[in-house]
Amino acid sequence: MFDITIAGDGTIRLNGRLDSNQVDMTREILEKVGSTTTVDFAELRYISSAGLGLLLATQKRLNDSGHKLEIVNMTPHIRDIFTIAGFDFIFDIK
Amino acid sequence: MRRNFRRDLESLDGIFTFAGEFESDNGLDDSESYFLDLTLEELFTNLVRHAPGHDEIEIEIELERDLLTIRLTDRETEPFDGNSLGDVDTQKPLMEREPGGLGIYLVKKMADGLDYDYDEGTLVVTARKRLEDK
Repeated sequence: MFDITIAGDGTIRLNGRLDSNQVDMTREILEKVGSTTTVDFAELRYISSAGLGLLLATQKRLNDSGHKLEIVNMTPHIRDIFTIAGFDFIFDIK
Repeated sequence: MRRNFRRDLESLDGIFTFAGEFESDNGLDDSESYFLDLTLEELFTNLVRHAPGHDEIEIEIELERDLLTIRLTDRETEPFDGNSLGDVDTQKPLMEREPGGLGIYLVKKMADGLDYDYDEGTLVVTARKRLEDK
Protein backbone atom coordinates (compact mmCIF):
# COMPACT_ATOMS: atom_id res chain seq x y z
CA MET A 1 0.00 0.00 0.00
CA PHE A 2 1.44 3.37 -1.00
CA ASP A 3 0.07 6.85 -1.31
CA ILE A 4 1.57 10.25 -2.08
CA THR A 5 -0.26 13.47 -1.27
CA ILE A 6 0.48 17.19 -1.42
CA ALA A 7 -0.61 19.24 1.60
CA GLY A 8 -1.92 22.79 1.38
CA ASP A 9 1.50 24.22 2.26
CA GLY A 10 3.14 22.24 -0.56
CA THR A 11 4.60 19.53 1.66
CA ILE A 12 4.71 16.17 -0.07
CA ARG A 13 3.67 13.29 2.17
CA LEU A 14 4.73 9.72 1.42
CA ASN A 15 2.62 7.04 3.07
CA GLY A 16 3.26 3.30 3.17
CA ARG A 17 5.73 1.34 1.08
CA LEU A 18 7.62 2.92 -1.81
CA ASP A 19 8.80 -0.09 -3.81
CA SER A 20 9.68 -0.55 -7.49
CA ASN A 21 6.03 -0.71 -8.52
CA GLN A 22 5.18 2.63 -6.93
CA VAL A 23 7.95 4.66 -8.52
CA ASP A 24 5.98 5.80 -11.58
CA MET A 25 3.24 7.35 -9.43
CA THR A 26 5.84 9.08 -7.29
CA ARG A 27 7.78 10.31 -10.32
CA GLU A 28 4.66 12.02 -11.70
CA ILE A 29 4.48 14.13 -8.54
CA LEU A 30 8.18 14.81 -8.09
CA GLU A 31 8.64 15.86 -11.71
CA LYS A 32 6.32 18.80 -11.01
CA VAL A 33 8.45 20.05 -8.12
CA GLY A 34 10.37 23.16 -9.16
CA SER A 35 11.46 24.77 -5.93
CA THR A 36 12.66 23.82 -2.45
CA THR A 37 10.06 21.41 -1.08
CA THR A 38 9.55 19.52 2.17
CA VAL A 39 8.97 15.77 1.90
CA ASP A 40 7.37 14.26 5.00
CA PHE A 41 8.49 10.68 5.69
CA ALA A 42 6.47 10.26 8.90
CA GLU A 43 4.21 7.59 7.41
CA LEU A 44 6.75 6.08 5.02
CA ARG A 45 7.44 2.54 6.16
CA TYR A 46 9.70 1.21 3.41
CA ILE A 47 11.82 2.48 0.55
CA SER A 48 14.07 0.52 -1.80
CA SER A 49 16.74 1.60 -4.26
CA ALA A 50 14.05 2.42 -6.82
CA GLY A 51 12.63 5.16 -4.60
CA LEU A 52 16.08 6.32 -3.55
CA GLY A 53 17.07 6.69 -7.20
CA LEU A 54 14.02 8.82 -7.87
CA LEU A 55 14.78 11.09 -4.90
CA LEU A 56 18.38 11.38 -6.09
CA ALA A 57 17.32 12.37 -9.63
CA THR A 58 14.93 14.98 -8.22
CA GLN A 59 17.57 16.42 -5.90
CA LYS A 60 20.05 16.71 -8.78
CA ARG A 61 17.49 18.44 -11.01
CA LEU A 62 16.54 20.92 -8.27
CA ASN A 63 20.18 21.56 -7.43
CA ASP A 64 20.67 22.99 -10.93
CA SER A 65 18.33 25.85 -10.02
CA GLY A 66 19.52 26.29 -6.45
CA HIS A 67 16.67 24.38 -4.85
CA LYS A 68 16.41 21.10 -2.91
CA LEU A 69 14.22 18.54 -1.19
CA GLU A 70 14.09 18.77 2.60
CA ILE A 71 13.14 15.51 4.27
CA VAL A 72 11.42 15.52 7.66
CA ASN A 73 10.20 12.91 10.16
CA MET A 74 12.37 10.06 8.91
CA THR A 75 11.94 6.76 10.79
CA PRO A 76 15.05 5.00 12.17
CA HIS A 77 14.98 2.10 9.68
CA ILE A 78 14.82 4.44 6.70
CA ARG A 79 17.50 6.67 8.21
CA ASP A 80 19.72 3.57 8.34
CA ILE A 81 19.14 2.99 4.61
CA PHE A 82 19.93 6.64 3.85
CA THR A 83 23.15 6.38 5.86
CA ILE A 84 24.30 3.20 4.11
CA ALA A 85 23.52 4.76 0.73
CA GLY A 86 25.40 7.93 1.64
CA PHE A 87 22.22 9.93 1.12
CA ASP A 88 22.59 11.59 4.51
CA PHE A 89 25.30 13.71 2.86
CA ILE A 90 23.22 14.81 -0.11
CA PHE A 91 19.82 15.43 1.46
CA ASP A 92 18.78 17.99 4.05
CA ILE A 93 17.27 15.72 6.71
CA LYS A 94 15.42 17.39 9.59
CA MET B 1 9.50 -21.71 2.69
CA ARG B 2 9.79 -21.93 -1.05
CA ARG B 3 7.64 -20.53 -3.83
CA ASN B 4 7.89 -19.72 -7.53
CA PHE B 5 7.07 -16.26 -8.87
CA ARG B 6 6.48 -15.05 -12.41
CA ARG B 7 9.44 -13.24 -13.88
CA ASP B 8 7.68 -9.89 -13.73
CA LEU B 9 7.89 -6.86 -11.46
CA GLU B 10 4.17 -7.27 -10.84
CA SER B 11 5.15 -10.31 -8.77
CA LEU B 12 6.53 -8.00 -6.09
CA ASP B 13 3.25 -7.73 -4.16
CA GLY B 14 3.05 -11.52 -3.96
CA ILE B 15 6.69 -11.72 -2.91
CA PHE B 16 6.08 -9.23 -0.07
CA THR B 17 3.05 -11.24 1.04
CA PHE B 18 5.17 -14.41 0.99
CA ALA B 19 7.89 -12.64 3.00
CA GLY B 20 5.29 -11.31 5.44
CA GLU B 21 4.10 -14.84 6.16
CA PHE B 22 7.67 -15.89 6.89
CA GLU B 23 8.32 -12.84 9.08
CA SER B 24 5.18 -13.51 11.09
CA ASP B 25 5.80 -17.26 11.44
CA ASN B 26 9.38 -16.69 12.59
CA GLY B 27 8.94 -13.62 14.78
CA LEU B 28 11.20 -11.30 12.78
CA ASP B 29 11.32 -7.77 14.17
CA ASP B 30 10.83 -4.61 12.09
CA SER B 31 14.52 -4.25 11.24
CA GLU B 32 14.89 -7.91 10.22
CA SER B 33 11.69 -7.73 8.17
CA TYR B 34 12.95 -4.59 6.40
CA PHE B 35 16.16 -6.42 5.52
CA LEU B 36 14.26 -9.42 4.16
CA ASP B 37 11.86 -7.31 2.07
CA LEU B 38 14.64 -5.11 0.70
CA THR B 39 16.88 -8.05 -0.15
CA LEU B 40 14.07 -9.86 -1.97
CA GLU B 41 13.07 -6.76 -3.93
CA GLU B 42 16.60 -5.79 -4.93
CA LEU B 43 17.71 -9.29 -5.92
CA PHE B 44 14.46 -10.18 -7.71
CA THR B 45 14.24 -6.93 -9.70
CA ASN B 46 17.91 -7.26 -10.58
CA LEU B 47 17.35 -10.72 -12.05
CA VAL B 48 14.24 -9.61 -13.94
CA ARG B 49 15.87 -6.52 -15.44
CA HIS B 50 19.38 -7.63 -16.20
CA ALA B 51 19.18 -11.13 -17.60
CA PRO B 52 16.76 -13.24 -19.62
CA GLY B 53 15.64 -16.48 -18.07
CA HIS B 54 12.87 -18.97 -17.32
CA ASP B 55 9.29 -17.72 -16.88
CA GLU B 56 9.53 -18.15 -13.12
CA ILE B 57 12.09 -17.42 -10.42
CA GLU B 58 12.15 -19.61 -7.34
CA ILE B 59 12.50 -17.95 -3.94
CA GLU B 60 13.42 -19.84 -0.80
CA ILE B 61 13.69 -18.32 2.68
CA GLU B 62 14.86 -20.26 5.71
CA LEU B 63 15.87 -19.50 9.28
CA GLU B 64 18.14 -22.04 10.91
CA ARG B 65 18.95 -21.03 14.47
CA ASP B 66 20.07 -17.42 13.97
CA LEU B 67 21.01 -17.67 10.29
CA LEU B 68 18.55 -16.19 7.79
CA THR B 69 19.13 -17.47 4.27
CA ILE B 70 17.46 -15.97 1.20
CA ARG B 71 17.96 -17.88 -2.04
CA LEU B 72 16.75 -16.98 -5.54
CA THR B 73 17.12 -19.56 -8.31
CA ASP B 74 16.92 -18.43 -11.94
CA ARG B 75 16.96 -21.07 -14.68
CA GLU B 76 17.78 -20.93 -18.39
CA THR B 77 19.70 -17.74 -17.80
CA GLU B 78 23.12 -16.25 -18.38
CA PRO B 79 26.07 -15.91 -15.99
CA PHE B 80 25.90 -12.91 -13.68
CA ASP B 81 27.83 -11.95 -10.59
CA GLY B 82 26.58 -8.98 -8.61
CA ASN B 83 29.76 -9.09 -6.56
CA SER B 84 31.74 -8.16 -9.65
CA LEU B 85 30.05 -4.77 -9.63
CA GLY B 86 32.18 -2.14 -7.98
CA ASP B 87 31.01 -0.63 -4.72
CA VAL B 88 29.00 2.57 -4.93
CA ASP B 89 31.09 5.57 -3.90
CA THR B 90 28.82 7.00 -1.22
CA GLN B 91 31.18 9.93 -0.62
CA LYS B 92 30.70 11.44 -4.06
CA PRO B 93 29.04 14.85 -4.17
CA LEU B 94 25.41 15.05 -5.27
CA MET B 95 25.96 15.91 -8.90
CA GLU B 96 28.35 12.99 -9.40
CA ARG B 97 26.07 10.40 -7.83
CA GLU B 98 24.20 7.93 -10.07
CA PRO B 99 21.52 5.48 -8.89
CA GLY B 100 22.96 2.48 -10.76
CA GLY B 101 24.14 -0.41 -8.60
CA LEU B 102 22.64 1.01 -5.43
CA GLY B 103 20.27 -1.92 -4.79
CA ILE B 104 22.93 -4.64 -4.83
CA TYR B 105 25.22 -2.34 -2.83
CA LEU B 106 22.61 -1.97 -0.09
CA VAL B 107 22.16 -5.75 0.12
CA LYS B 108 25.92 -6.33 0.26
CA LYS B 109 26.29 -3.81 3.08
CA MET B 110 23.36 -5.11 5.12
CA ALA B 111 23.90 -8.85 4.63
CA ASP B 112 26.66 -10.97 6.13
CA GLY B 113 27.20 -12.66 2.79
CA LEU B 114 26.02 -12.49 -0.82
CA ASP B 115 26.99 -15.25 -3.25
CA TYR B 116 26.32 -15.81 -6.94
CA ASP B 117 26.73 -19.38 -8.21
CA TYR B 118 26.25 -20.27 -11.87
CA ASP B 119 26.19 -23.76 -13.30
CA GLU B 120 24.83 -24.97 -16.65
CA GLY B 121 22.27 -22.23 -17.13
CA THR B 122 21.14 -21.98 -13.52
CA LEU B 123 22.01 -18.94 -11.42
CA VAL B 124 21.58 -19.19 -7.65
CA VAL B 125 21.83 -15.98 -5.64
CA THR B 126 22.16 -16.47 -1.90
CA ALA B 127 22.10 -13.77 0.79
CA ARG B 128 22.77 -14.64 4.41
CA LYS B 129 22.37 -12.66 7.59
CA ARG B 130 22.83 -13.56 11.24
CA LEU B 131 19.92 -12.31 13.32
CA GLU B 132 20.34 -11.25 16.91
CA ASP B 133 18.38 -12.90 19.71
CA LYS B 134 17.15 -15.83 17.64
